[in-house]
Amino acid sequence: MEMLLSWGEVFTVVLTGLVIVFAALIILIAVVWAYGKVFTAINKNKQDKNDKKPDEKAAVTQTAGSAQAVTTGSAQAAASGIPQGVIAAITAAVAAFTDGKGVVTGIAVKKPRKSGKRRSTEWGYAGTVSSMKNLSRTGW
Amino acid sequence: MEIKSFSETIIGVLQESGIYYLFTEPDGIKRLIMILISFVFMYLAIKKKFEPLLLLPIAFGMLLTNLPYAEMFHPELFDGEINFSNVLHEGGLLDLLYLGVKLQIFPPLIFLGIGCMTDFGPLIANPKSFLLGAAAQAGIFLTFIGAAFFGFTPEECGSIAIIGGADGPTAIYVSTQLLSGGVSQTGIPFGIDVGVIALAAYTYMALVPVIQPPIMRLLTTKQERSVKMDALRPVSQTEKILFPIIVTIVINFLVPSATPLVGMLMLGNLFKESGVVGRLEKTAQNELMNIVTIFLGISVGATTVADKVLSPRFLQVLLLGVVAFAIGTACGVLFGKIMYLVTGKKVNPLIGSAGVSAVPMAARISQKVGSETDPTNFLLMHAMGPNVAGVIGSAVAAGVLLNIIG
Repeated sequence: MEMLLSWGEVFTVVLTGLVIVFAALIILIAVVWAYGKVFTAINKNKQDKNDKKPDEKAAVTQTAGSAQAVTTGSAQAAASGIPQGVIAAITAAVAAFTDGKGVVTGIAVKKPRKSGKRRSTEWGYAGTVSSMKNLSRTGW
Repeated sequence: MEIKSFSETIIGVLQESGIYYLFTEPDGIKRLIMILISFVFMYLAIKKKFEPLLLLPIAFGMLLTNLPYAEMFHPELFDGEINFSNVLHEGGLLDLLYLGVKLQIFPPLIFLGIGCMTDFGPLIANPKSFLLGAAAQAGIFLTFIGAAFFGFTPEECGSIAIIGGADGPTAIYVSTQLLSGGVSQTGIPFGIDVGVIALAAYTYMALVPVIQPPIMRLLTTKQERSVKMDALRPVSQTEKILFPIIVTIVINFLVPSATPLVGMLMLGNLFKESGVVGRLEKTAQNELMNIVTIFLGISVGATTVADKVLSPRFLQVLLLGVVAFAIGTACGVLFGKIMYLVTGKKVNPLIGSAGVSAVPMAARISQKVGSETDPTNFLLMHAMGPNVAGVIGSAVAAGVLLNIIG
């Protein structure tokens, strides 16, 4: 079996190929690592800011006496007709979520807002019909 | 007007039949054998589920091109410089479809779909995985030595070596470019063609679960296999959006010839990660990819003519193909062992084998072999990093081969 390539040519191809593939992927590692660091730092800063805000609020509330606030909140909620079991569950959930730093000062029941009167049903219907016509014309 | 007798008519019909051709013409028996081989590949695709999405159309393309008098594919139209007017006027269905392969259209479109389905998150979270993806590409270049030893031309060596990338579209992309024209730069006719490379590549890709595990077990100790890796950091959407853009630019600056493959892969991924072009993403990874897969498979299958397949060269390609896969796997695992030592036993070397791109099968094999040692060890996400790095790595290796040899 006769070789059409010399060993020198073969090793040139192999060496060049391996060096270029490794070089390209090492450069990609550097780029991805660098921007990964940047984004990790940005995300960390954001998280720190978010963590600070509830801390500050909790600190202010705690100076006023958290037990009192909870009692006040619960009392207010109870006065508005919310069952004690629901109040206890919400208070426990908030405490667990905020590692005991958050304080429930009041619970309010908000009914979903009505979206108001529907605008001109006839115009809406006409628009829908028109859109459907266009769609069928273009073959969608 | 002369009316033929009954016997003359029957003899005439028989002489024009495919059966008569198969048993009387010089290449008849060869065609018959090729038809039987196409049955074998259909069996592997349907019964054994060997990469059926591509192997089935390839096998049927092989059947169609070898049927007597079917005249569905004319290889002579693609010898030398293509005369497009001739192809359009004289070509059949498969000739027209083959233009998509010849003009490098189908493989990049397949990469577009793959990009839509790929999550580069594990790679962004652990960029060191790129090294494992690069190490596994050693299989490509080391197989080049074996192909040269068997006396293949440089273009054939490059086409055979790329099988080690375990990436079908990349193998077709490279071999189509390198083997175009039918003769090498030194004037030696090629003994193999794109169809042969595609058959070997897809057969071995299907055999990844058979080829890889013994090599992985052989090269690692039980202690290495049982390493549990730290959880990956969460990756933000902004990082995922920037990744395809940055990779396209970096790869283009370094290896421009890899841009068609990497560029389309990254475009597909940008569709996915941007979250604003759901329709395009869905089309690229479903309808478009399926259509292109049919066209690519059947037209590549059509190039498998008897002269190229029924030769010792095909057996040598099959042998070198399995060697390429084995070397790629071994190099990935060995580099994983280096990372295991350098990082103070924090990297499980098994994830190195996933660098041979075959996504996601190679990553699943890492998970499977790892869980054999410790069922509570979950390596899949860690192995996905080198796995998708292997896709980029094999595209870069393809660009390098085209640059050096093409």
